[in-house]
Amino acid sequence: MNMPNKARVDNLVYMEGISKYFGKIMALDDVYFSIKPREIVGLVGDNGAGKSTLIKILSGLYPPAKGVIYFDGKKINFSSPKDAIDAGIETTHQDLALVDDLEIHRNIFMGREPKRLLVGFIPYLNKQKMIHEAEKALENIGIHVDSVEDIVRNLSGGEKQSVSIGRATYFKAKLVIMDEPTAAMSLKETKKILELMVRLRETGSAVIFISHNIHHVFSIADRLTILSHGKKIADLKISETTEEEVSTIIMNN
Amino acid sequence: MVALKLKKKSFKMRALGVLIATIALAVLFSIANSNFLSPYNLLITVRMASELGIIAAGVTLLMVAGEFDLSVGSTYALSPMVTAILYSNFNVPIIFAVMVGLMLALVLGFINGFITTKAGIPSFITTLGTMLIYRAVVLVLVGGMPIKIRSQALISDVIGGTIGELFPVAIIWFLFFIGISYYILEHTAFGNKIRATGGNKEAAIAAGINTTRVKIITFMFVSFLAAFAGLVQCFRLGSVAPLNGRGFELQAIAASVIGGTSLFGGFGTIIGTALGVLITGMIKNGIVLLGVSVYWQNGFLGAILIAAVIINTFISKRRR
Repeated sequence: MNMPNKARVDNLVYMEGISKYFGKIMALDDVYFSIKPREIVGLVGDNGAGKSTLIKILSGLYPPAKGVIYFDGKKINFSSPKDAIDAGIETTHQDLALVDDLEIHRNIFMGREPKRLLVGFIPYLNKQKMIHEAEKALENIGIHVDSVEDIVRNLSGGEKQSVSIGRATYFKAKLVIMDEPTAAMSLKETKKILELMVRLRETGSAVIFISHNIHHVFSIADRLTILSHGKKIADLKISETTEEEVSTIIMNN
Repeated sequence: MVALKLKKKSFKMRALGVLIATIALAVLFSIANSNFLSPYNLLITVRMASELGIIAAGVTLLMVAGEFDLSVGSTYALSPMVTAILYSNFNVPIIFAVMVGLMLALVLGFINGFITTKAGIPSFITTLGTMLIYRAVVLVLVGGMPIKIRSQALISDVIGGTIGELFPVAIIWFLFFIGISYYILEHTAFGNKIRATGGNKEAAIAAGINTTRVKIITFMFVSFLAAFAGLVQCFRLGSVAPLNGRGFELQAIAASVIGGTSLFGGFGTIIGTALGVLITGMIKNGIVLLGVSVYWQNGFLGAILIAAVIINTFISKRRR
């Protein structure tokens, strides 16, 4: 009985026996998932394997039907994404990232807008700070946009993903979850994002990296977890496996 | 680069378009009747637009948040009616009667927001229902009869009086609430949450925004403004009629949409709405000056509404 408790404490995240249903469809079936501080874990598997569902549970969007989550050694029960964000979990979602009609800087600070006081007591949106910090956040990931005061609707798919990643990485979270961050990106942009994830690890964050591209995962991850049809089918250290082996596991399920 | 600059320009054109329309309409009416631009007539025009304008400012915030409120016209009658009954029939001090009326509005707004968000039904339906219910309550309360409210107290002058002989305080309240709404939408964190909620609710939730709370608070704000506008009229006329404010709900939406507010949420400007309100006021006044039958008033407004939406749709298509 000692082992599970140790796992709860040693890991930054320890998800224990997570199940989730959508109506009668079982999206996740008794999944165990863990990530240590300063670790990059690739979460891979075919479409419909349950990757996005698992991270939506971890980021507070869905409650699990069954199972327990430990974060930073404590049992947590997120009732909304705000709880997860407050705990130190940032997520770039594949499907629900940004507000098209909002400017880039307003998107990056959406939900945690910086304020200042006008004549000592009137709360006022600190736009200078938002604009300046948004520029810094995008510079940090090596992406250039014409102006952060432009609305998101006018951006390309890759630029939108960059803004979303800029937001997730700006707040120095303990855990950054990236769901297919490079799907709409050019090769050059992709390289920058992969380098960014390595830098996040160096500065103390853990990263969950969801991708269809096994090669990308192998180039930066420490470990990978493979899901298939809602079940975990493998958990491998990158140093102890090969791309061929992982591809074979995914395809044979 | 060049393409991006052009896109940004057309984004602003939307607000500029309303300004041009406002000026064009003013020029048109002043050519037709030279009295149109006289200071007195302008004062009347703005005064007539003021009560609707106070409501439209709130309606714009709510539409940006992605919701509608069709009950504002009923709240516009119900809140001041309760104030008038408390004051005239039960001798409640006027200041308390006013406060009760305004607090009631917050409750009415909360009901709208609570039902819409918790039951997950379109606010169009919720507030269509409460529009009928709130109106029924007004009619039942007074049996269909108007209630007089003759108060010499300072508060009645402050809310619905005039400065000097001519200048209606209503105009100052209109500017005040336009200012407050502009401040909320453009310069507060809550305004950003309103825009995020209406622009992409799922993204807003994922970013940690409590969209239910944002919507309920905005519903309460709109109701408060509707009640306040009702009080302005009530103190100006010295009575409240149970059918006051009928049609205001659609006129407020029309003014907001003429001003460039999106029907689908996420986009709208208070400046645009203020101009939209002025346009509706000018039409009401200009029609009379032109000697056209007043029965045409709403017809003219309808034509302008359709034209405005066609132009806005054209601009936002080019934006993409």
